[in-house]
Amino acid sequence: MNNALASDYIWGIGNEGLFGGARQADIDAFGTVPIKAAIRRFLDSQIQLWKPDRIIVLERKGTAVLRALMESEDPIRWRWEDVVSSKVIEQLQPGELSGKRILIFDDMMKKGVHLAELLRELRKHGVDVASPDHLRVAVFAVHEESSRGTEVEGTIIPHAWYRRCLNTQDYTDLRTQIVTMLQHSGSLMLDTEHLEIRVNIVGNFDKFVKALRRTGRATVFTSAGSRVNITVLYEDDTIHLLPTGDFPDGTKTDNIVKKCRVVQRSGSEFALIPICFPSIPAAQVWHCKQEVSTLLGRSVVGVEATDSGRFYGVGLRAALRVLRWVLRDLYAAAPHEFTVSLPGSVEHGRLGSGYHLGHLRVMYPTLDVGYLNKWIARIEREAQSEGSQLQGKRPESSPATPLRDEVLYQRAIGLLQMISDHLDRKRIAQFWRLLDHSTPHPFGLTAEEVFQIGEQHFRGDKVTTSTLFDILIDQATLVTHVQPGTGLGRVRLVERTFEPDGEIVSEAVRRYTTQWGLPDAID
Amino acid sequence: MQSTEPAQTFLFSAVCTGREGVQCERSLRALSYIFHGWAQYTGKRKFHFGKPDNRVLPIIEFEKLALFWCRLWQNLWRIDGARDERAHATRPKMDTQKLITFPPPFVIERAKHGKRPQRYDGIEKPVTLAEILCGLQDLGIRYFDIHPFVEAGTAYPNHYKTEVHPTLPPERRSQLLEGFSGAEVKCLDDIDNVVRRLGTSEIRALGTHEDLQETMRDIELEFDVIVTDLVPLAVSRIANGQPFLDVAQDILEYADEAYKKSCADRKEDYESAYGLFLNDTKDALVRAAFSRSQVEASAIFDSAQMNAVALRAEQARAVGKVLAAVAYFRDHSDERSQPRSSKAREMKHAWDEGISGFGKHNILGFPSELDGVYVGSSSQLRPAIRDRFLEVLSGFHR
Repeated sequence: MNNALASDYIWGIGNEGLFGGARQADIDAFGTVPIKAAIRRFLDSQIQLWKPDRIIVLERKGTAVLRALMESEDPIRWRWEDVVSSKVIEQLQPGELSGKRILIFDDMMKKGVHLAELLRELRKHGVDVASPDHLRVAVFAVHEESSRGTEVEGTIIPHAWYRRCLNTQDYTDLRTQIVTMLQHSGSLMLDTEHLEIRVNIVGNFDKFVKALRRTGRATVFTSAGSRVNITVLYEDDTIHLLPTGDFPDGTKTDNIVKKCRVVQRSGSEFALIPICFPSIPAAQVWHCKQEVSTLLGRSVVGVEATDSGRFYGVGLRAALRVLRWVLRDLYAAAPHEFTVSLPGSVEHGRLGSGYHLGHLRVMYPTLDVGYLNKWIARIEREAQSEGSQLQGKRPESSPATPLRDEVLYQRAIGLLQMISDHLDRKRIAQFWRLLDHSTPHPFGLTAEEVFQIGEQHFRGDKVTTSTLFDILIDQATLVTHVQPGTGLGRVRLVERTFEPDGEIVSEAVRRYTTQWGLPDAID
Repeated sequence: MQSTEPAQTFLFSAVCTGREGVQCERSLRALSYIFHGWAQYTGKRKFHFGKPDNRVLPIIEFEKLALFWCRLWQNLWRIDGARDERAHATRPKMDTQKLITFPPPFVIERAKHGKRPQRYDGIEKPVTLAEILCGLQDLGIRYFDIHPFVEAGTAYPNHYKTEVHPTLPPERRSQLLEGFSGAEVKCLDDIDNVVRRLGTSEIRALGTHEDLQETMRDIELEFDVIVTDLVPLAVSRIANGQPFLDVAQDILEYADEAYKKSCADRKEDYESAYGLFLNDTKDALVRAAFSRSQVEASAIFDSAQMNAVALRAEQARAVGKVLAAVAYFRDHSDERSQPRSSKAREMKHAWDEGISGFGKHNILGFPSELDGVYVGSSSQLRPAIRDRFLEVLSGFHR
């Protein structure tokens, strides 16, 4: 460990003369600068100073913050093609990053564990992480635990900062401000792993919701910023079976999340965000159809594709199926209540004409966005046609799940407590079995396990539990991972898992449980 | 909670500074109150293995008492707890004097051989109640007088020889409940009235068992370790002609635990403790919490499931005994015909019991005398016996 003083290693932007050498923390100590403007100013200054070739964003909040900044009224000028998610470094070709000027951006850092992991990964990819000519780390707010920089294999990697040496209380408060900002900007769904299309509700909202319930089960709730959210869940029934031919052999398509989130963007405009992540067998090449290969590219379907790359690629393919279901229901049951706005080209989007899906390149580095647009347009046409033939036909709407926001939010906390408790119990049991308390990362519960908790503890149907997932994810208290499962006695599956988001949240949940007990089971 | 207060705000603002410290401290005081009531009781109670308890609880039994109290208190809290008003905005203002004001702060999770009250922070290893109390005692905070087992100058709070003694004179015991609500004092007095009359083995039974499902799970986990970790090791050692005493003793330990948890001996203790509680608690709240915490003995011990698992455990224990004895006398051939040391006598006894168990469970192919196991006076097992051992071990399953 290098014992030099922190100030020798920290590039706080104040030290570089932007603000006359004053500590930035002194300048906006009383919150005079709105958080979004402050982050924008920080990141923009880093880009101007450093002139990077690529920005690597740390999932998940770092990505969401960047997207909020790039899609704001006064956007950061940057191209999505030059942004890479920390989750996909291993999918990049050797040499894609070496020699480039890289700016790593994250909104907050406590111990720097994720940053250290990323730096190690970059080093494997030939990036000289200790070279100030090649790599710069910019973290908006830094906890006092890591204000000296991040140590990677004996080298201290310094970072630029806007606020640093934050104690836990200040760090927590700032985190809350950032999450609130994200919620007001459109929630944490501003990530870069889900496709979305926009619809305008031109007719009756209730009819629109009823149409979503034609074959799905839907819950409506209000999130921060008074945005209307709808979670539409599709059961494992015959209408919503995923064709096994779409995916690698041995893919598990039941007891997973198959849903569409409908999130109010502004006024009558809503985003349809289909989400579906089948569990795939580990270390198995995906021999897919040509059209899928064209769409997703070598990082997903090539022989060198990683499990994580394949997992997300399969997820995107599955989401297109879900998109078809939701559009078909809408066209069948409420064709006059909405209009669809399809995504345009990245170039058009940049000119302010409509929206585009360029941000997906962050998570899918070899995705053909133009091809995806055509695919979505085809689905929309076909769904419209199928929908018109289904008009007036059964199945009937699923009954609504009549839970008030207050109850949903209360249960969301309860579910978070239960997830945390289950994970702690697993860790404790593991300790007593192996006498080793190091926990593998990631370490979460699968959707199936969480649904079981929801059913057993809250007597909740899957759509309610799924809605609670959404509430927690939007509030940055639950985080998702891609995790290799144990798969005892069968093929090892790569699964999506859920756990409390980081040390700050985990500790708060544990303390809350100690103080107030676990939530009551609903009889 | 306000209708849509974000979880991230709510969680951080709802966690009151120091409150979990209060919960822990009150829980330890409540436990101390119950324990001192037990230790200072002068009336009769059931002997443990024919001996009086001397008003001292071995750490295992103490933690079982804590487990039982935690379960009971958790249910009292669920039924009539002063829950977080912020999370239940619809509830009317509460009169905390009439309510239970704190839940037990421990995570009750399985450790080696069953559940233990623990605290866990997600970073360091879980800390058991025994370790917490020893740590507090080192800091001069003595809710109990803990006598940890010490070896070579190191204290081992989790060791089964660690003991818990009373630390307060009877006249000061009531001070432990200062600041408790009226409802809490009433409940604790009702619990104390019964616990003080329970013998050590009854406390152990009541703490270990709550219902069939949990007991079955406890036993399954014992088998799980045997099958997954120990049997493969034993098979490999025996097949390669290596010493296997350590692994044989581990198999015996886990099989013995499975047997104890499933056997009818435990039923008697559980039944008497359960009956005493059911008959002698007066408070309606305590009675309701107790009926949620524990099921009656027959529901645990008389089920077909439990009978089947008890049979398996008995067989496994017989195998463990024979295996341990064979492993011991493999390494101590001079004591085979005339066991001199107490360990040798213990192992000879284990052999006799194990072989008798083999007979009962129709496990054939083993000699009735130890000498028949080895090639002469060597440490080598006769090939037929070795192969038979390997067959029997391979027959273990979850």
